[in-house]
Amino acid sequence: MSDPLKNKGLADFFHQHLDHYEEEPGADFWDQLEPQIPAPPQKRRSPLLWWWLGGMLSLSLLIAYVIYNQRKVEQLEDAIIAQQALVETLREEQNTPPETSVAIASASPPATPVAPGPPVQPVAPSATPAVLPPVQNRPSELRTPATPANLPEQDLTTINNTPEERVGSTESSSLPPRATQPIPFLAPKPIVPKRQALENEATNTTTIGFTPLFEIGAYYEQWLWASGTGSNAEAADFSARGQGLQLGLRLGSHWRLSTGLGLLQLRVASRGRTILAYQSAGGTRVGNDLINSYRYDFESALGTTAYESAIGFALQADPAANYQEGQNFAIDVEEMVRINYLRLPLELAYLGGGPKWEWTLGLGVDYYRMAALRVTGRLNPVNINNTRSELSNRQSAALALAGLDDTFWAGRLNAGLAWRGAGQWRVGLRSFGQWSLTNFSAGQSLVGLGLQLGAAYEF
Amino acid sequence: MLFGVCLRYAANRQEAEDLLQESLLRIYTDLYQYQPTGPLGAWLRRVTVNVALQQLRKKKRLFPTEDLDQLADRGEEEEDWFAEDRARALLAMVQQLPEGYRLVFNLHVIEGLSHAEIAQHLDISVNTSKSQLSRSKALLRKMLEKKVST
Repeated sequence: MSDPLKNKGLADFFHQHLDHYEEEPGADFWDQLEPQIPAPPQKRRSPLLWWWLGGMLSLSLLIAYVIYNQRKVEQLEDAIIAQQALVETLREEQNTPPETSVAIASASPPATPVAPGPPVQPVAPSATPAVLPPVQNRPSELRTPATPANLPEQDLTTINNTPEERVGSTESSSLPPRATQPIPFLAPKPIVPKRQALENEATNTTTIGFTPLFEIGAYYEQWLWASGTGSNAEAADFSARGQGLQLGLRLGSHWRLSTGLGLLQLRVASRGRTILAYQSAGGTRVGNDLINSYRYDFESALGTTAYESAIGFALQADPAANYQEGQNFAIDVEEMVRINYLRLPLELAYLGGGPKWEWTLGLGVDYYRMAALRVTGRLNPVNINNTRSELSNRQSAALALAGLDDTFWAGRLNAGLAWRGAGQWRVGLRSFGQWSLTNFSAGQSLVGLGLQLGAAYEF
Repeated sequence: MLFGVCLRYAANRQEAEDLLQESLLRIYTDLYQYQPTGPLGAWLRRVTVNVALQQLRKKKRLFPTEDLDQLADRGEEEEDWFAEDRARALLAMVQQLPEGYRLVFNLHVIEGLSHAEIAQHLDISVNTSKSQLSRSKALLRKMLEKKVST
């Protein structure tokens, strides 16, 4: 060892003895330390997220309430108009002798259900007097007073049985048409910009520039929507969708304007609906014409946003015992080919957070353009308690071919949280609410809520 | 390990315990900043040294101008050089150094920092760091000579 009294030796001498010098603190040191240990930091929950969720839920409930009340008023108006027409018709009939025995039978009070008898030949159209229009599922016609003068002459055997009637009862009824059910109005959006944009943001640059975003992602969406025109409908649509191309225009460090184009869509939808359509109709009949209609739909679809093939079936029952047309049961088998499916989303989103976690709050509008070719087959295997069986053979089958052309706008409010910890990959969860700004397909509107879980890769 | 570091930077045992307590609390709150790219022990030691620097920096008279002979005589009645083990005796000498001298001596001799790094840490000039180190060594040498002569 060098001499510790020399300059260099002194430093080495002290370094050698003190570098790893160990000694224990006093016995009461740890007792004094313990009370000074701060409490673990509380997990901070972003109040903004909860505020947004609450706001979105409130908004959705408000919209649903308004729509429900609007339909209720329309139902009441229909009922009043129909009742007035019925009263006028009865007054006229009091001053006019009955024209045919059929008309008298139709105008009589509800009869006791008649046991099935021998087959009755349908009455020829020429022998049919002015009869009731097909009141079932025709709210638009019910808003016009139905009087014998403006009631069309129609063969009772064709009521709700011809292809035209089948299509009409679906398109203009309270039931949402199939073409508008599986609307993929919730395309994924790029939650996080590119890494370079994040770095710019970290350095507090506020330049306004264009940052092209290109990403491919796979998303799982689950959403619930409700719609209706004079009916109550509940539907659940479970779908898995992929979104292909997304373009974004970055405005400064916290705003993003984006649009997109969907390339792939896979969907399996299960829609259970209970429809209660209460209607009252005038005409030559007298009695309680309330209708209860229950329907369940199931549909699976495969395709792209430009082309999609869907197949499904629907079960419908009219079990009301007091319905003059009797109890009815129908099975629909449907194949729908969407040949022109266009969705153009436009969204303005605010970005927050940091390089690892980023949240977005966006407001968007979607434009939908749908054209579909639908083939529907209907089978009515059960028809009992039909008081007018002498005029109608309800056990029938029908085939309908129809084209749909729907265009509407929808607004969307969403909030997302994304984690981007592995390069250009990000994993995010978004919740969203959507509502139709314009009606579509026979005046229907919709309100939707949902969750979206997805992963995306940015180039 | 950490208490040994605190003892070198403190003037006495009580002050070293205060430094250790502050260091442990700092480690507890800043543990999330630890990057497992280097040894944990080195990180703990660095935190402790930083706490010691901060605590001692709060004191105004880091570099008093005192006569070295007076300073060397001040610890004459301290621990017996041969009665205690050598390391503890050397530590006692370091603790007897004025705080500024002690800081520079520890940072340069024990921690291995250059004068430029010391100057940056303590916000002093490089020449000041060099002169403080020289004075601290001279002071320690006098202490050693006195111990050896007795």
